[in-house]
Amino acid sequence: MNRGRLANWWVLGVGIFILLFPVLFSQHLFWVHVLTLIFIYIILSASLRLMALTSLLNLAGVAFMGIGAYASAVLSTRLEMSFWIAMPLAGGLCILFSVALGIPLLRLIGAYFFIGTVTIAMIVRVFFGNFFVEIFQGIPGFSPIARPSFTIPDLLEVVLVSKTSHYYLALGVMGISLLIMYGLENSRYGRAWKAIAQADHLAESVGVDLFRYKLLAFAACNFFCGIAGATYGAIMNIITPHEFDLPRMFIIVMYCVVGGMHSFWGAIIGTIFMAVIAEFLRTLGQWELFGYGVILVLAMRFMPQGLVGLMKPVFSPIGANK
Amino acid sequence: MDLTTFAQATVDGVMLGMMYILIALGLTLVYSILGIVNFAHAQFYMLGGFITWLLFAEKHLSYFLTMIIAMVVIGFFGVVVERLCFRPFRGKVLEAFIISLGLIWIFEQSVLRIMGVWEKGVPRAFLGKIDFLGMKFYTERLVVTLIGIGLIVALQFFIKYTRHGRAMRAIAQDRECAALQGVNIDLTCSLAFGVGCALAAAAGVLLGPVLYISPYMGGPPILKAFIIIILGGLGSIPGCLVGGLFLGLVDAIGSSFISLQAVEVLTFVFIFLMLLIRPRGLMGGLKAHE
Repeated sequence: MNRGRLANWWVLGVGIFILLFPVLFSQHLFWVHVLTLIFIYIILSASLRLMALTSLLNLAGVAFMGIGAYASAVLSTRLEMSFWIAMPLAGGLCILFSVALGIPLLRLIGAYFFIGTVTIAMIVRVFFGNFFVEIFQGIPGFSPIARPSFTIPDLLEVVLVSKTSHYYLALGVMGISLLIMYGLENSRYGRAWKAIAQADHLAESVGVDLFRYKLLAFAACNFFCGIAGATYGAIMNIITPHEFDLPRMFIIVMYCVVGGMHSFWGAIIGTIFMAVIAEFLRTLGQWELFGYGVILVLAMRFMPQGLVGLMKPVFSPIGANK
Repeated sequence: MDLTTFAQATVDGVMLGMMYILIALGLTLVYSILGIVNFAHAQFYMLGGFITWLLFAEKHLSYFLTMIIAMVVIGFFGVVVERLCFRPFRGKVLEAFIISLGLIWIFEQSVLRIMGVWEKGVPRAFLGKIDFLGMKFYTERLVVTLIGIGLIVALQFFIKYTRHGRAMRAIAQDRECAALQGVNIDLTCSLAFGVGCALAAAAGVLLGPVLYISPYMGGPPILKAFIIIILGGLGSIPGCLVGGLFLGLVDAIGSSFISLQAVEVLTFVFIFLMLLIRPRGLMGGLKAHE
């Protein structure tokens, strides 16, 4: 337990530093923006890991990010709703879709399930690119998107336009999402998910309703993806269908694998580590994706516990060994 | 609906179906023997296409020689990939799937950097058209279809009647029992992976002259192959054939009468409906790796 507490303090320290980041580096708006995007990616990778607790890889996560982004954009821009209402509504829509799609999909076992989610990822891109062009604006993308704002009638109106405000928006959304996900993982539901991953028949025999718990994991994962998408749209001010395609999903899988799929902090550490590395890899230019591929294969092959697994020996001598 | 268009679309559909089947067969073979889903499978098809471009279009080798070289080279390359990347992850679907995601980037990007971004055209291997009942068909597409059928029959023969084919079926049924009976598991797994990759390469050689060669050409067929596998059932060769022909015909006929995007969406809707009724596909065996 000591080790866990130490890690918590460590994370808290880093958290405070990150919180102060835009104040310290306000002249480097580029890095503020990079961190803003990292926060959004953290929501995505943490929610991918949430579903992976049941040993199912939800490759439709980015597709649901797209659904959330488009839903929130349409609600806030076309219907002129406040972003703070549109975002949860978009998340709710994602839950509805994941229940509707999950009922056939979650009947699939193992490999069939990955393949099934891949087909969802495909269809979402085709849908937003080619159908209802007058609403979704087709392949060029949906723009502009209404900015989130705080309004008190006749008194105050703050529109979140600056990079720093986006930073705090993403940070807030990420913080709340991570808190909920951490709570879920350590609740009755999280324990059931882990039991399903270890021995599904055994879990079923002691009364875990496999289908219901898997559906819950799928819906929760997609809800957070949708929230991340809604926030992403509000920050970027433009969303295009091809952004929500498989390559971005693969990048998120890579973040999780590099960080370590077996720990809650793995997804977060992996995302921060790889996204910062990516900014430097960018100087490599065209070999960037090739480098990602090599990192992914090597990480899976030689570092199956991820970065968190490498860090464990450093932390365990300090904390009491169990 | 005009009859000539319909007939030509049917021929195109059968050809497309054969190509999808060649790719899906490799996937299903690898799945039933290694217990993994290789998402990078279509990259071997892409490599096959590039070998066609290098040897057939640039060095002017004969078409059939190109095909044999491509199948042998890519087959051995597949064996190397299996040994280096997939061997520790046999039967571990999730881990192997992630490895194959990395392989996609490695193959695609290295070919992109070496060969360039531009799509490459390969000259027609078989010229001319055939007249049949007043309707004209491209000779090329008929020949491609026939070669595809030949390869599928050859694979079926290999699996049914040869020693290694029997070993593969034994492993697919029960790995431990097969090992107890003296089947060399490592060798058979490598062989299955190699044969699967060779089939994908053959599809690349066959489709090279019909379509374009580009580093990204693996994307659409792998998704089609996955759909076929969902339709037919993982690990089932007859299911693969039925699913492939169905999808090829739907793609070709549908896209000549309604838009391609509408056909794609309709296909997905159909698949979802089917999964509600048969979660393991039309012919998926009950005894598969889970």
